[in-house]
Amino acid sequence: VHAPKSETGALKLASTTATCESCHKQEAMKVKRSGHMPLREGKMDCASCHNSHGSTNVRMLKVGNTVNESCASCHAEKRGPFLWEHAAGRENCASCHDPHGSNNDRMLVARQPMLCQRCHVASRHPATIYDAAQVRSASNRIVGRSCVNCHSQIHGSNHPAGTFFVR
Amino acid sequence: MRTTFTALVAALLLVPAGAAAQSQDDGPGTGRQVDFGVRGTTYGSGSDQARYQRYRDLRDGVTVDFFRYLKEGNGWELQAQANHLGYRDQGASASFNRFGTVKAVFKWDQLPLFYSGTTRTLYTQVTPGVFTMADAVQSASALPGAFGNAQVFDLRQKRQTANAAVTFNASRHTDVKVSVTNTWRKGAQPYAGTFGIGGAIAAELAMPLDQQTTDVTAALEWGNTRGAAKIAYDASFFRNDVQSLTWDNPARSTDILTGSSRGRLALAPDTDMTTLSASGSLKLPGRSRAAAFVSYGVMAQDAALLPFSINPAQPVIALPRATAQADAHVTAMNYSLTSSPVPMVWFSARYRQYEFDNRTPEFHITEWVNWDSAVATGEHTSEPFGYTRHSFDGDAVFSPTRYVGVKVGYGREQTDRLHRVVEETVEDIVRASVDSTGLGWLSVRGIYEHAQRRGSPVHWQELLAIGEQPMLRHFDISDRDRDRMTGMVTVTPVSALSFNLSAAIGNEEYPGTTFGLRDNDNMVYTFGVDLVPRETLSFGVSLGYEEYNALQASRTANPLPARTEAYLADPTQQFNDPRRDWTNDTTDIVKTFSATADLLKAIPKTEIRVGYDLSTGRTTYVYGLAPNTVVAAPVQLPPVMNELHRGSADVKYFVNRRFAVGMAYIFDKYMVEDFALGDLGGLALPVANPALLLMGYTYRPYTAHTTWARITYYW
Repeated sequence: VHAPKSETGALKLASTTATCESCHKQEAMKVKRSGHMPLREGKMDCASCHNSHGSTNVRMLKVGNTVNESCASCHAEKRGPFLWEHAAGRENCASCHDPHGSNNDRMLVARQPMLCQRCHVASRHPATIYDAAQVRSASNRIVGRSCVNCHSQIHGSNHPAGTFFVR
Repeated sequence: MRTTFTALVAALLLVPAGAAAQSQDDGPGTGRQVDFGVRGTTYGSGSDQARYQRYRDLRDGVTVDFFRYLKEGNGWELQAQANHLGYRDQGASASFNRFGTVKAVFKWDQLPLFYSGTTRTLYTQVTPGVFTMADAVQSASALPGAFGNAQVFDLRQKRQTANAAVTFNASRHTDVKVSVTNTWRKGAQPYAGTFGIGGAIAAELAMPLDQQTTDVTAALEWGNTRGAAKIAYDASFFRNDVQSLTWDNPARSTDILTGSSRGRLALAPDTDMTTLSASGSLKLPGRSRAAAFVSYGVMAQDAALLPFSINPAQPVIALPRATAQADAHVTAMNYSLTSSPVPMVWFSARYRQYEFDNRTPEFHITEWVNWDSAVATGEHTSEPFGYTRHSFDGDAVFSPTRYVGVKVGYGREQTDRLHRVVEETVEDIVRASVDSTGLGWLSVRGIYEHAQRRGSPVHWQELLAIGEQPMLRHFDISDRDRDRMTGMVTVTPVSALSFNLSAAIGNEEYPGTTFGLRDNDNMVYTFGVDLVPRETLSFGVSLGYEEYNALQASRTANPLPARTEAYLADPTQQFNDPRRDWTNDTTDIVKTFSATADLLKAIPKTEIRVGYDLSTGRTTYVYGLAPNTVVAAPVQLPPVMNELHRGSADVKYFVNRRFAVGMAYIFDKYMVEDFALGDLGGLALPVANPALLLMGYTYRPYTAHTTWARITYYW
C-alpha cells in the first residue's frame, strides 16, 4: 500500500476492523448490533482474536487449538475443567454464543428460553410453552435472565450438588 | 527472522489464507503529538447512561485523549502512546526496538463494562461473595414493599491488562521470545441463584469479581529460506479470590429441613493450563512446502469442594471426595502440505487432530441436597466429557489465466465423544469457488459448500433415562445437511468509484430430528458504494439486510412412569401424545445502514470525518401447535425490537504545523422493546407472590450527545 490510511500496519483503510469489514460483510453488520464486543469502542479489533496471516487454530483464531481455547484466553473463568461439565459448551462456545455480535442478551445465537429448548425438551418446565401469558405472570423462566435465573452455573459447576448447574 | 518464521508457518498451516495482508505491527504510529480537550455529554430524559458507556468512559471533564511519541536513532527506535488518559478505558504502551538485536514492548489496557447505574438491591454484601438481607424482609409478602429502602448502586466491572514482551534476536536465524500478561478482572456482574422450582424465589445478585489470570509464553524460533522451527511453552494460571456466592433466601429467614435461609453456590475455581508445542516447516522440491505443529497440554483444577448444603438444619452428607480432581490432557496436531508443481495449479492438504482427554474421575452421588433446601436420593454421576476431533481438508486451485481461479475442495471432520447421546459424528464437506480478481474494473467471488453430517450410534435410551424425548437431537451433534452459498461482486467503472454487492444464503436441515432444532436458514444481502474522487476525499455508503429463520419443536407432557422404554408404546401417556407437540418459529430480521465521509485537507488546513451507523432488529417468535392439538392455544409473544444509531463528526483545523484545534461530536440513540428484559414493572415479580427478585438491570433506551473541544500539539 503506497498511501496507507491506518496508524499501524500500512493498511488501505483506517483500521484493522474497517479493512476486514470490506470483505466480511456479515460479520461487519453483526459488530454493529446492540450486543457486541468492544470493537466499535476501539478496545478490540478483528486482530484481537484472528490472525489474518494464518494460524494453527481453526478460523484463523490467534490463540489456542479450538474455538473454546481462543474464547477462554480472555474468559479464563469458564475454562474449567469442572466437576460437572456442560458438554455442548465444552465442545464449542459458538454453539450458544455469536462472538461477532447479536441482538440477544449475552450475545447468544438465540434468546432464552428458546435457545435452551433447542436441546432440552424434558417433561414439565423445559418443554413448557413460554408465551405472552407467562410473561404477563412474570414467570421466572422467561423474564429477566430466563433459564439462568436458576441454572446460573451453565458453563460448568464445581459444587457437589451442581448436577443441573443451579449450585 | 521473526518475519521469516511467521510467514512460513502461518502460510503453510493455514493454506486457504491466500494472499496475505500487510504485516500488523502493534507498535505506535509515527510522529509526536498530544491531544488535550474538554468534553461534555447530555442525555435524553430517562436515558440509560450505563449502556451508552458500556465499554467506554465518556464522563464530562478535561481529557488527554491521545498521546504519541517517537524517537529514532542509529539502528534503534523508541515509541510510546497512550489513549484516554485518566479515564476508565485508558490504555498505554511503549516499545523499544534495537533492530536486529532486541525488541521490548510494554502495554497497559483497561476495559470497563458498565452494566447499570440504576440497579437496586435489598442485599448487603458483608464480605466478598456473602450477601445478607434484613430478616424482616425475608418473606414473599414483604419484598415488594421493601424497595423504598433499597440501595442504588453502579453495577460495573473492569478488566485491566498488563503485558510485557521481549524478543531477542540471538543470531541471524534465531529468536527468543518471552511474554508475560497479567489480567485483573474486578467489580461485579449480574448473577442469580434460587432455592427450588415451585414457590422459591430466584434472586439476582451483583456477583463480586476479583480474578486474575497470568499468561506466560516462551518460545525459541529458528528459520532461514529453507525452513523454520519453533518450540514454545505456554502457561495460563487463573486465580479467583471469590470462589463461592452465599445469599439470603428472600422467602425465609429460618432454617428447616425443607427450607434454607441461605443459599450457596460454587463460583469459578482456580485453574491451570500449560502447553508445550513444537512446529516447523520445510521447503520441498517442486514448489512445495510441508509444515507441522504438535502440542501437548494439561488443564487442571483441584479446588476444595463445598459441602452439599449450607443449611444447618440438614444432615451432613459425606462428600465422595474432598476436591474436584479435575484434569484434562489436550493433544493437538496439525500437518499441511502445499504444492504448485506448475504455475497454474496449486494443491493443498491439511490434517488436524484435537483430543480433549478428560481424566477427571467420575463423581458419583447417591444422596445430595437440592438448592440447599431438599435432601434427595438417587443416582447421579458426573460425565467427564471428552472428545477427539479429526479434520482433513484438501483443495485444488486451477488458474488458467491471471484473471480467474477455480477451486474445488473436500473436507471431512470426524468427532468421537464420551458422554454424549451421539458417540461419533462424521461430516463430509464439498466446496467449489471461483475468483476473478485480475481485471481492474471487476472482481467476482463465489463459493458454494455442501456438507452432510451423520452421527452414530445414537443412545436414545440415555435421553429417555433423563426424561427427554427419545427423538430429541442436540443440534450441534445431530444429523445435518447444510448448503451455503456466498457471492460477492465489486465493479469499479472508474478508479474513483466502486460498487459492491454481496449475497450469502445458508440452509441447515436436521433430518431425523423430531424434537429440538429442525432447521435453520439465513439470507444476507449487502450493497455498498465507495467514492474516492481524490486522495483527500472519500465517501462510502453501505446497506445490509439479514434474515435468520429457525424452527424448533417440543412436546409439553408429563414424564413417563419410571422413564422406561416399556411405556414408550403406551398411548395413554401424555409423553407419547403427538397432539401435545408445539413448535417455535423464530424470524430475526436485521437491517444495517452505514455512511462515512472523510475530507482530509480538501478544505485547506482542515480534516473532517463524519460517520453514521444504524442497525435495526426485529425478532418474532411464533408458536405453532399440532392440527389436532389438546394444548391450550398460546398467547403469541410480542416482537422484540431494537434500534441502535451511532453518528460521529470530527473536525480538525491546523492553525500551523504545530497546533490544531478541533471539535468532535458523538450521537448515540438506542431504542428497545423487549418483553423479558425491558421494564418489567417492578423488582419483585409477580407482585402478588414473587418468584423473582431482580436488580433492575434491564434493556432501556438512551439518547446521548457528546461534544468535545480539542487542541492537538505536534512536536
